[in-house]
Amino acid sequence: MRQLLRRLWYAIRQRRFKVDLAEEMEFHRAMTQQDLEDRGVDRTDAAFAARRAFGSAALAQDLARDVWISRWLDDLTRDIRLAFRALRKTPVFAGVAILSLAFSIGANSTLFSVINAVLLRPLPFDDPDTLYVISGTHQGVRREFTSFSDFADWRAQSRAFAHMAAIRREGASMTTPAGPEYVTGAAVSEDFFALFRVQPSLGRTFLAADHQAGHGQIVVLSHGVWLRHFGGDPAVIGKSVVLNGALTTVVGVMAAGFAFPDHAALWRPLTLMASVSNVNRRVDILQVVARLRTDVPLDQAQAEMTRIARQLEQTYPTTNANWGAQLVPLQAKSTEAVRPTLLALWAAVACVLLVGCANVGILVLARGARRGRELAVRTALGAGRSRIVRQLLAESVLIALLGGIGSLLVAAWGVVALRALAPAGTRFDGVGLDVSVLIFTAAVSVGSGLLIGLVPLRRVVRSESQRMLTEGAPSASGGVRQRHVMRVLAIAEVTVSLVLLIGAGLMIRTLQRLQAVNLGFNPDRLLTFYVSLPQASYPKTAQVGLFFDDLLERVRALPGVRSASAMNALYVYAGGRSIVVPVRLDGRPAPDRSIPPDTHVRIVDAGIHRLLEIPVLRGRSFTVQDGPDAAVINEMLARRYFANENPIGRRISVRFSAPDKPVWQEIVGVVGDVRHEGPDADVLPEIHIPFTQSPIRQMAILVRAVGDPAALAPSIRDRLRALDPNLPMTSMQTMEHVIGTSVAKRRFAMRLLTAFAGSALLLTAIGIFGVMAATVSARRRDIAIRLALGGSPRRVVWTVVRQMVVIAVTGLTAGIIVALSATRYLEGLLFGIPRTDPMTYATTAVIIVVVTLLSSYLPARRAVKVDPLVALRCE
Amino acid sequence: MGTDKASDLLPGTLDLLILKTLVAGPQHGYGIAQILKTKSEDVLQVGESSLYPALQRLLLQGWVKAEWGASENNRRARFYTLTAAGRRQLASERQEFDRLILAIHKVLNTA
Repeated sequence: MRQLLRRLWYAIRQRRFKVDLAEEMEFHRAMTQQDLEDRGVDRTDAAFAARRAFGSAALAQDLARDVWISRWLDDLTRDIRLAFRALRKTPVFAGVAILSLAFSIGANSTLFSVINAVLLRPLPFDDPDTLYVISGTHQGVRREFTSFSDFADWRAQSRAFAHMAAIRREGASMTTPAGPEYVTGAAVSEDFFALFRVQPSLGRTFLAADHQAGHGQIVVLSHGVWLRHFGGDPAVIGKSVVLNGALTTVVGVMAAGFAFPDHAALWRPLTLMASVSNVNRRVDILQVVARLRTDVPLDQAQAEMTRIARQLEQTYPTTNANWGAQLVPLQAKSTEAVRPTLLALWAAVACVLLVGCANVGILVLARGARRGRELAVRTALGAGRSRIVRQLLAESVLIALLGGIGSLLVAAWGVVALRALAPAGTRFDGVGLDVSVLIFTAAVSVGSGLLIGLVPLRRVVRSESQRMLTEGAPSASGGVRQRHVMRVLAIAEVTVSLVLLIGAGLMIRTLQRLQAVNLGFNPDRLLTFYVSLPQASYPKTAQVGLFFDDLLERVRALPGVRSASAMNALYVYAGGRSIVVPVRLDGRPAPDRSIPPDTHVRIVDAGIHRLLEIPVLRGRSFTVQDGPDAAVINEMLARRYFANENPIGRRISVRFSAPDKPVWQEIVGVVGDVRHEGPDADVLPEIHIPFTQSPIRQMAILVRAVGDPAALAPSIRDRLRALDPNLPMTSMQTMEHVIGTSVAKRRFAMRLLTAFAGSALLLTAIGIFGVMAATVSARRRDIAIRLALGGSPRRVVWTVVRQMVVIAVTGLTAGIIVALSATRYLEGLLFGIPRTDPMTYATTAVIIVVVTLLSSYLPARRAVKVDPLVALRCE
Repeated sequence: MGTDKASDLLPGTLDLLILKTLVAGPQHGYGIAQILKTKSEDVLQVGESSLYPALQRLLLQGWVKAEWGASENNRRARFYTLTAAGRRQLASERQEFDRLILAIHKVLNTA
């Protein structure tokens, strides 16, 4: 221990020690000289002899020093210092290399921190591996949703679970001072918060009574929503918020960090409908989560659920035939949707890193070539080969280190930028620089450093020093092998860039296709908002009908309004909830109730088809004369049930007044399909029922404006207020805005991919420039000789340009081959175009060619400008 | 060049010799070298590239300490003094050395 302190002391007072030792040894030498003189030797001879006898003071100093500081530490500090100096002398090289590395490693770290937070981190709940999703399976196929009745039975009969809760995801249009915001939340059953073992930070969660039908509208807010829209007001309990046009009271606020399911903004109590008849048993709208009892193994719980399902099959054969139940870990389920996008993005960023490293490799090689002389001199002076290797390695490691530090800055900035640029509503909980990201960055930096460092080492290992010293200029720019390696690196860069560009291009085309999809209605100049009539003020359905009739009439009378109509739920991203039912056709056997239904019911105002410009394909739309039993179906429904027949006049039922008494509607028309679930989702069969038949309290009002739809908002609000001043203000959106937000996430991914592809391309351009410049530099002599001998400049330039062509063509070919197989992983994200889309491939190839040409331009020009006299004489 | 026979010995031996030299009292580097040369009748001639590193080693281990002082002819010189730890080290190393020599002796003298 004391030794360590002494060593430290030495390290600090190094210079002092050195001076002391020098003085000491000088004394020694002087004494020797004195001694000799005393013996009668001549002064000058004595001096000479003494110095000779003493020997190399420098060596003595070195050896003395070695005692105190271990060799390797000393050498290391020296290497680092020299490396710094070397880098400072070539600031451009150092700058480009460090920036390339900083950017590419930083981008990787940013994405890694996202992946870490989203995919790798365990769910932020207590004991996350005891949490499971229970899915019904129909004929072995896992279904997303379960029914109230099944859930109730599962819960009542199972013993393996500590808690079981049902969730119904909802989207709602929340009115905020800043404008309408589409938020996602959930209606949850009794056990929900207990299941996750979370407590509210303010107020309370739901009581048993809250889940009864007819109870007031209440909500528990998430921490984020509370901060964003209530400013973190601690007195928020009891205040109201407008959801889908309905006034809802806030009873609690959840603690930060809890946002299940899917970054929920709010939770409402799920009203479990009493399932009297098992008609309701196949209304599958709930997701079921459960927490396993700690003493129960998974397979036991699974066996129990299977048994329960089988019992239900026997008890309710009409609805539960072929239905089973399956347990899926919650962790896996919750990352399903986002995993392919994230992994695709990460692959892209990794490619950028490869290009970045290749670039630095090229730069190091190009530079190392110029230092051949210096290394040769060093070797001649006695530097051991390992010393030189170590030094070169030190430079590369230093670059990698500085690049690594820079990358942390880039990563930090990257996370901030991501947050800012991501579409509204994307959640970045827990994404940030934490320890694992730091470790990741460090590992990648060191790895790249070593990789890059290995590149120039080969030339040192083979002793070219002799040749370098004696020969002249040509070697000053490096041997042929080095340039070959540079070319290979450049080709690799072109390949990777092309693959990335193709990926980005495919995504861009996908987005174009998505936006080109005909949604089935005309969204231009359409304003939409929800009106929700509270039960208390409008207890009778007749009142509800009257209200909406009145409202529509007034709105239609407004100047600037071309037409107005109403529907219970429109395009899914506009909010609202749709009703899914099984369908019964007159004259056909009752449908197999065990098959999950997927027909959506739309309660509509008579003029809806005309307003939305949905084409009427057969029969007609509603007219004012139509009774309440008229119905209109969409093409999908017609295709499914009336493939070769005329559906007009047939009777269809989606409701039952009593278990065996279907309420028949007569089909009067077939209209075109509308893609309510989004441009890339399936079309659903629909039946439209006039509002007069079953008025409901919450309707979406749609207004087609003559001019700008947003301008109508104030006057519409006035009309609303005139009708009922107590109605909560609702948020109004234009359909264009809604459609825009629905592709927002995909668009964001596309933009990221494009950004990565762009940066890879930029780095590649730099790399090609480096290679070409090095080539021209190396061949200056050749070029000069040729020019001097009378060769044409054009042919000379061709020898240089030929290199570039080789790089471009080889890179393109390799890139296309790789892309053809690599795009397989993008398949899940693409829409409407094959992954071998020729236009994308062609365009990106052209881009690569252009970039290659541009980056080779300057070096090629230099080649032409070579002055033979100058080149031949100097180096 | 300062060739020295002492480099044929293990570095530890040189340390031992220096420590012994210092028992008689503080001495500077030149003095130590002279004493060794004299006492060994010119067999051991220690060069500075062995001597000074050895002295540094002893300093590092704390067996000697060094101070500037005036030499015989009033020149500034660095004097090394044996410390208590150094004395102990000397005793133990001496024992070790004796054992070693005995062992070598035995090996050489038995057939």
